[in-house]
Amino acid sequence: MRTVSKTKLFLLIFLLPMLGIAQSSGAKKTASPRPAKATSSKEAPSTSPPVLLPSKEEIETGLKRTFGYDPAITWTIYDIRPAAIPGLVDVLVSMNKQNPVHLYVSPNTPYAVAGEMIPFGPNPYAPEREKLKAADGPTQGAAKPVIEIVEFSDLECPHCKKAAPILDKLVTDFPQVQLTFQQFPLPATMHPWALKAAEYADCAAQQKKDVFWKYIDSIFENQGSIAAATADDKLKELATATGLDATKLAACAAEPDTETRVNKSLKFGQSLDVNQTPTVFINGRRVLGIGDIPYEQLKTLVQFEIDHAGR
Amino acid sequence: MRKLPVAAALLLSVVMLSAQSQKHPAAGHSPAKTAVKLPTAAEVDQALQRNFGYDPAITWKVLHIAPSDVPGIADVVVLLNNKDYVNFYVLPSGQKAIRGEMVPFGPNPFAENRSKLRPADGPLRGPESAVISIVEFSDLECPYCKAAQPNIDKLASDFPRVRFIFQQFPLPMHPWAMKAALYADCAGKQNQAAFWKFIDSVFENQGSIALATADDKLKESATAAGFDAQKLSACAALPATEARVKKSIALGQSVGVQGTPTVFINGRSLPGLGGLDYDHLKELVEFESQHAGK
Repeated sequence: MRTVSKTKLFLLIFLLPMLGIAQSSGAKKTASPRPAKATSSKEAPSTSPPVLLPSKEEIETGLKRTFGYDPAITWTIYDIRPAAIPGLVDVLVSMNKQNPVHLYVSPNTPYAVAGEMIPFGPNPYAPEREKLKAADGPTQGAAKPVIEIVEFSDLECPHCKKAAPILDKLVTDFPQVQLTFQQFPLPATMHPWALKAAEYADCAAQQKKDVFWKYIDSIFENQGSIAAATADDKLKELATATGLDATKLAACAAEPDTETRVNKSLKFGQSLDVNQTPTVFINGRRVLGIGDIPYEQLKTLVQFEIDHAGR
Repeated sequence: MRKLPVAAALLLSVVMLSAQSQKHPAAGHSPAKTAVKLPTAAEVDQALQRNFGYDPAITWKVLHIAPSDVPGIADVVVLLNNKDYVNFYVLPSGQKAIRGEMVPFGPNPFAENRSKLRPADGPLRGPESAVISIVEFSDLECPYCKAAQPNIDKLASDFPRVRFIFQQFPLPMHPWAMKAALYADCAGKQNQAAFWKFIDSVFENQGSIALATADDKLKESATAAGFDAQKLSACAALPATEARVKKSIALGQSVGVQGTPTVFINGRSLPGLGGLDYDHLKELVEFESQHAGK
C-alpha cells in the first residue's frame, strides 16, 4: 500500500543515508556530526537572495503545532538561515536528539519541505568540482588524474580511520584517480587533540610529502591511546617512527602559519558545506559514510564517475 | 503510552510531519503554481541517470511533474526501485533539488485543507455543532480501511463532540470498490444511521466479495443492515449516484489523497491513519480539538 511505503521512505530520508550513498549536503547519521552553530546567518551563502528570516519563536510555533500533541517528541532548533533557493529558509532541526535534519520553510506559504538538498541536472557535480580545484592538501595517486577524490578528514575521528584504507585501496585499484587529503579537525569540544594532530600532519606533508600518508596511518592506528595531555609526545613519537624529524615537526606545528593553513582547509570544507567527517568528494559528488558502503559498490561508483569525467 | 522506542517515535513524528502532501493539485491552482517552469521528463530522467546510473540495481520511473505549493518549485514524483515513491522538489535553476516531502508548516498549517474539506457531504455522525471534524476517505474493498474502522468507531464514541464524515474514495485498482461505493452512497442518502451498519457488513465480508458476485453480496449486506435491497441496487445504478461518488473522489484529490484510508483530523492529513496506535490517535484528536480553528 502506498502510504506504507511512503512511511518507510520517510524513515529512510530522516534516519538513513539513502542507498548507502548520501549525496546530500546535510548532516546525516555518522558518528561525528558537527553541531551547527546557534547563529550562522553571517555565513549564509552569498548566492542567497535576501529573505526575511522567521524568528526562532515562529519556527518553534510551527513545530509545536505539528508535533506538540505528543510529549514524547522533542526537538532542538540549531540554525535558521536563508536557503540557496529564492524565498526558502533553511531550518536545521534535531528531532528527538537525533542528527539534525533540514526543513526548508517557505515563509510566504503554509508549507515547508522536509528533506535534503541534492545536486540535480545533467551536470550536477560541476559546481562542487569547480570549487574543489582549490584543494591543496597532500595527494597520492595519478599525477594527471582523470578524476579526483578529495577527503575532508579528522585524525581523531574513528570513521576517518575506517575510511583511510578504503581510499588507499581505491587509489591502487584506479590508477587514473588522485586522492587529496584535506584537514578538517572537528571542534575541540568534540575532538580535543584533532587540531594539534592536523597541525603536525600539515607540517609532515611540508617536511616529507611521501611520508605524510604513513604518518597519518600511524596516527589513525594509535588513535585510542592519544589524549589531549599526551598528544604532543605521542605525535612526536609517531613522527620519529615514520622517519620524520620530531623536534622540527613540533616546532613547525606550533607556528601560527600552520594553524592558519589548517584553518584555511577547514574554511574550504565549510564553503562546501562539509559538516561531518569523513566527507569525501568523488569527482565533486559528495559521499558520506564511506566506511559503510560495500567496496564493490564504491568501485562501481568510482568507475561511473571516471566515465562521466567532466560532467 | 510514552514508552515508544526511539525509532518508532521518530517514524511517527516523521509521519506527522509528512502528513498531507499535495501531489496531485487537480484543483485549486494558485497563481504561483502556474508560474513555475517545469523540467521535462527527459531532463528529470537525465538527472536521475547521472545520480543513480552507477548502480544497475537502482531503477526509477518518473511518475509526475507538476508545480508545487511553493512558488517556483516543481514537484517531481519518482518511483524508485519499483517500491518507493520519492519526491524531488526541483529548484528553478534545475541544478538543485530537495529530496523529501512537502509538509504543512506554520502557526495555522491545516487551514487550507480545512477550508477545502468544508464541502464534504458524506454520511456523518456526531453533533450538529462539532468542535472539530474528522473526514475519512475510504475504499470499501481496501483491507487497510477495514482495519482502520474499529479505531475510527472508537474515536467516535470517545469524542462525542467530534463530527465524523465518511467520503467515498474507491481506488481504480480495486475491481468492485466503485460498485460498493455506489451502494454505500445510496445507503447514506436513504438512512444515515443504517449506513454505518451497511459499511461494517461490507468490510466484514470483504474477503468473500468478487466483482462477479458484488451485486448479490452488496444486496445481502443491504438487507442485513435493514435496507430495501432492490431499491438500493436501483439507486446504485443511477448516473447521479456515480456523479456523487466521483465528486467525492475529486474532493479527496483536491486535498492530496492518494491512498486509502486517508483521514483528516480538522484538516490535518493522516494517510494510513499515520500508522498511529489508538492512544496516539486519541492524543492527536485531543490536540486538534484544543487547536480548533488554527
